[in-house]
Amino acid sequence: MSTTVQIQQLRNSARLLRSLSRSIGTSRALSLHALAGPDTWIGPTAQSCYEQLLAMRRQLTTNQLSLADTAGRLDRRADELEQLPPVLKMVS
Amino acid sequence: MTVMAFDRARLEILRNALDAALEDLRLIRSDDVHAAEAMRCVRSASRTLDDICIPRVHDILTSTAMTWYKRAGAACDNVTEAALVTARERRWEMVDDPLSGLGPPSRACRTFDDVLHQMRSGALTPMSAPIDANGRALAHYTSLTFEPADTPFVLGQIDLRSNIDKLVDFFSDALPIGMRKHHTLTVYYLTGARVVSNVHTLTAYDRDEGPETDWDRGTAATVSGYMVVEDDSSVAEIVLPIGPEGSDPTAGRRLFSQESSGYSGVFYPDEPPVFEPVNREPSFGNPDVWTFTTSAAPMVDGWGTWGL
Repeated sequence: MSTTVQIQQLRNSARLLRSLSRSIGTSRALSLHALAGPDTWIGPTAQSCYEQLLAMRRQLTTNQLSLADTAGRLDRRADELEQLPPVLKMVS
Repeated sequence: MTVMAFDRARLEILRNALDAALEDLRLIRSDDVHAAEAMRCVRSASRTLDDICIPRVHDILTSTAMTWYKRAGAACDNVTEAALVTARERRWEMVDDPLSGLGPPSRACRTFDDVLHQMRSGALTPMSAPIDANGRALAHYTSLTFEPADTPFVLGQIDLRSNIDKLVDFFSDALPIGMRKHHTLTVYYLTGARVVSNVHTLTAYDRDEGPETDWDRGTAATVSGYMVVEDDSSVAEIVLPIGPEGSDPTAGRRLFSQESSGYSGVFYPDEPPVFEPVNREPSFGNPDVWTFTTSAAPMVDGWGTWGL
């Protein structure tokens, strides 16, 4: 695979990951916990649901950040490849 | 049967928000290999909403079995009881809680003593133990690493030291030669913790790099439940007293000190965990992580033994 194609793939992948990260970050799933607290309901079912929503939010947020990090890493890799001298680009 | 109370208008808002959130999650898609972990998380979140939260809210909103407040006396603890008093003042509706007759109670309903008692009686079922290599070179064994999503909730702790150990510890404060032991049993409640099961090969390994791990065969699950951990540590030291006679006997210069520590434990999940393949390498540096094996031989620094 040529370096140019590789760079393009890395850029595309980074763009998709950022888009995915944004989709997760703007999902209404992240704000559900605010509606599921003791102002709405009380009892074991309520508590269990609230904890599940909090845990779900934590996992989604962690993955959202992780996707943004990965996108940054792919972009940096593409930058490095772009800066290679033409001879090395052919080798890599 | 435990009672639950709810504000119908707010619960209907929650139901609509759950539907909308599920719709959002279903629209999130990606085939990119770098997004595999995130997509697993999104699918898991969708299942949580679709299979658990939405049906529960729906059941409560459509329940016709209304309950009088006087039954709230069956609530599981004082906190719930107090909340139900508030709920009555707000004229909230009340129903028998569908969860109270199913599965384990919430952590507020199971005390430290309850957990110990139910552990001994077998009412609590532990998670399956890691696979043991039984000391056979090149045989496979597994480790279980628990990564709490939050600071674990401590239900209680007891001191397991013998009276002699406590006495030795007491006199060690004033004597030049001392021996301090700590032996405690702690019960934590973990909510939404990640547990990673890794497969290792029993070989001699580099101390810095840890045991040989087959990363492709790692699996992970999200669990909630009780973590029971027995910590055992001891410090032997020789201290040279400094200062004039009659000064603080605990002040001194430490000439020699040797420490040893270890832990063992078992996890009791609220529900049987569902493990799925994972590619991410776990971190051994998180201080809030417990890693357990059943084999003593492959133990690395920071790992504990499965079982109590």
